[in-house]
Amino acid sequence: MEKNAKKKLLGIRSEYLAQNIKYFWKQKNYIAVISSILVVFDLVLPIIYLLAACFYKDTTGNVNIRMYERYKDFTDNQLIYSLFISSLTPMLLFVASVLIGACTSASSFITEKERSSMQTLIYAPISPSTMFSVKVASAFVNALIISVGSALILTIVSTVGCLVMSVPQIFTLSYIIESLLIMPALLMLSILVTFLMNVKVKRVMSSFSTVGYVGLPFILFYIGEFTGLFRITNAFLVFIFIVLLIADFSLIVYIRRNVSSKKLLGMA
Amino acid sequence: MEALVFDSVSLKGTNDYNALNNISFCLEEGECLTIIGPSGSGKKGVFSLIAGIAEPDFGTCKVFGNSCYEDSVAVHRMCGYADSESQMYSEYTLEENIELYSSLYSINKEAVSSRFSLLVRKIGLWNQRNEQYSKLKISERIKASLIRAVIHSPKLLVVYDIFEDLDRESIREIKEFFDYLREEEHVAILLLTTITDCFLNDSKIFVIEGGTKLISGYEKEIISASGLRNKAIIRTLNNRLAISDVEVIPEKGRFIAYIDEPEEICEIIRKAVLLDNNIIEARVEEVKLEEAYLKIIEDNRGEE
Repeated sequence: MEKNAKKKLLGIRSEYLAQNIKYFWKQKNYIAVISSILVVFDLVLPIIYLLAACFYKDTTGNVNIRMYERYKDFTDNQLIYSLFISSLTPMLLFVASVLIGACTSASSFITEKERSSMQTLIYAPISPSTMFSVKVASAFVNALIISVGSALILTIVSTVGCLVMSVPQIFTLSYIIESLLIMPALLMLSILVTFLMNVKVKRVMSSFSTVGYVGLPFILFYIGEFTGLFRITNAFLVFIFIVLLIADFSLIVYIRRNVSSKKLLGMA
Repeated sequence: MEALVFDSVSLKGTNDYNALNNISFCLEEGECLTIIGPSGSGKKGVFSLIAGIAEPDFGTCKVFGNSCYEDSVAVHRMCGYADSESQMYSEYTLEENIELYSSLYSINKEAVSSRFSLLVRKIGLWNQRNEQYSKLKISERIKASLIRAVIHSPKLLVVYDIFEDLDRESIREIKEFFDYLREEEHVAILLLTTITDCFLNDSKIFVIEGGTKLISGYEKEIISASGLRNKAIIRTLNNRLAISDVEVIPEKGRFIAYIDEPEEICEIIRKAVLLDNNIIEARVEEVKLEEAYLKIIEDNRGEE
């Protein structure tokens, strides 16, 4: 009995959760989409930026305007690459995370509706709120695995860039807050928002349009910093993390209270 | 014990199912009830109520005493649901799919494996058990959905619209499977269908249209209520027939007498032979359930 209880997680056997996590990796269409995201965000864009920084030659003199003290001894090329590391790398990390979260959420909920396999799950002896929790948990685990992989690739590529350009390494406190605290919270938010905004949607393609709601604020933040509009401090990052955590928690409580079989099936 | 009770159930219609008006019926343990109705008659509403997807606006809907909506988890433990719409995971084989769904029912792997072997043999899917779900034919997918529905040994099986795309052979196999479930496992079965020839022997029938019950009873009662009668068709050598006490109607070179039971034709033949009629053909044209059902539906529409 005790052994059986240990096997249970979120009210049902962890075996089903494991099956759900495993199933994601069998869906070639999602793997293809996520691979493309990783290639673009973790390899193509950082390499393009590295090359641009390497071969940049200032003809206007504008780059010589040093925004911050810490950049004052940098060459133009180093300055450009440093801006990339401090502003664009986290932005790429977050945008990739939001997309990955949306993909795993769509796989957990919308694909099930699209293929009419959600009905089969509804007939099982599990309450809609538990089904929702299991689906969110499996989407989150998969999203986290992929995002950690994505962050590692991006960090390696950026570190190589830092070595090539002789600029300080990427491993700053802010990057650690961004990748270890904000990224998981953002993943969860992306999963929940994708579910919430697509309750009635039964086609996967229609669901991706909602990703922007989560990703856009982060893009704007980092563009703001990149253009020198404001500076994102560590305290501000911690504040963002707390806001995300509260948003995640509130959404989980709200959805668990209101979710029904009809909503999971896209009927309400 | 009552496996399923619908007591004065009314339900508002939505885009996904039609409305129901004051529907009542009862299904005992081990019994079979076939709800027949044309498309849009409210069958899906009945199915959605039992599956706990919809909540009745009025009345109660209970499975073994548990409310289908409020106690849906308990109800789902006792019920198996099969329909033509729900699908399994196309990337998995049939066996893998069943394993996955079984993990939702707290059944141990060995028990699932032996029950799966039994069920695939019974329903005729033994050779397809390791086939990828996406490669299964429609009839095989429907059989697979039945296996999935009964893998946890439910006491009530609810089947919605699965016969529409099936060939006669598959219908026969599925009916045999249902017979096995009823006889060996004492499963109560509720069939919701538009097709009349898929009901099981000794099944009660409930005819529904526009969310309203038109008639219920056993096959003979439905046929009798339709007003249609069996025909005794007799042909004679000289196109003449005279029988005492039996009304015969001449029609296109043959004679027709309306009878209640097919055996009554023997009495007609005996009387005809006694009066020196040269009978060259005598047969009974029985009223089929489908004809009776269509007549009832037609009469109902005429009344409206």
